[in-house]
Amino acid sequence: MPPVPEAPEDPITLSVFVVDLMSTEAIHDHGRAYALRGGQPPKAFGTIAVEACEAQHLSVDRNDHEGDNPPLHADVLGWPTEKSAQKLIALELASESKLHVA
Amino acid sequence: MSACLLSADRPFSYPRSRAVGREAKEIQHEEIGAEREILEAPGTGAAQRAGILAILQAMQEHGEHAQVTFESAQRAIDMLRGLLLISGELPGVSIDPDGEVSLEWYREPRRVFSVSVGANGELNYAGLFGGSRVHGVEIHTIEGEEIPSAIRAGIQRVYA
Repeated sequence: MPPVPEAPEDPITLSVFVVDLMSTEAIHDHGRAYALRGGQPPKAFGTIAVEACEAQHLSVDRNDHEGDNPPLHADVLGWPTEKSAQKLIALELASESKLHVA
Repeated sequence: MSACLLSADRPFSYPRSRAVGREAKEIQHEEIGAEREILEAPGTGAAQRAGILAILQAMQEHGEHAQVTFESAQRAIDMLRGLLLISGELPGVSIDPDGEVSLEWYREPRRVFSVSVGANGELNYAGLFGGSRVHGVEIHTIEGEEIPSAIRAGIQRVYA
């Protein structure tokens, strides 16, 4: 009997919105419309340049035309499988991002 | 078997009086102040209690979005005393998408250290110290066991 292959784990993605040329208020409005969690709107958002993701060997795939994805949606892809490496990249991205509180 | 439920709203408090009126309110206000002084006094484990409270609050706030593993939270609480002996600074607490409790020591964007406490005692850590970067995995399975040296060094580097 051939070995049963293990189901591959879902690749990790970071869900983001493309916000080029949008005002802070317009981004907040977009979040309130499309980024609810448990019915609650986001309290803040962070902005980061695509180049900062690419510097970490990640890619940004705009996919708002696919499935039920909301307008301006994109996924940040290419995360390593090792959790500690993921954490390191997350710290790098956080250090390059700017926080906007509602 | 025993169970303990801590309320994140008032985790260590004693029952309040049901008396009403201005005087009762003043007495209750004084009692709360006295209780807070006791809870927050140096050398009484106040930082540890605050850390436990932060973990409980993070579980409450993020529990809907990520399945917090009880074992991860229990291990993080068990480690708090040892972690606080390293720097005395209370870490920020959040819940990872995989349900692990994440503890973070932060001074500035490139002086930060983060540890995710796994249910099986696995500690995934990462840190930025100016231009230096570290990441790796350690194991901490026994309550009261010394904190692994890589974790200790990472926390100390944030405040060096």
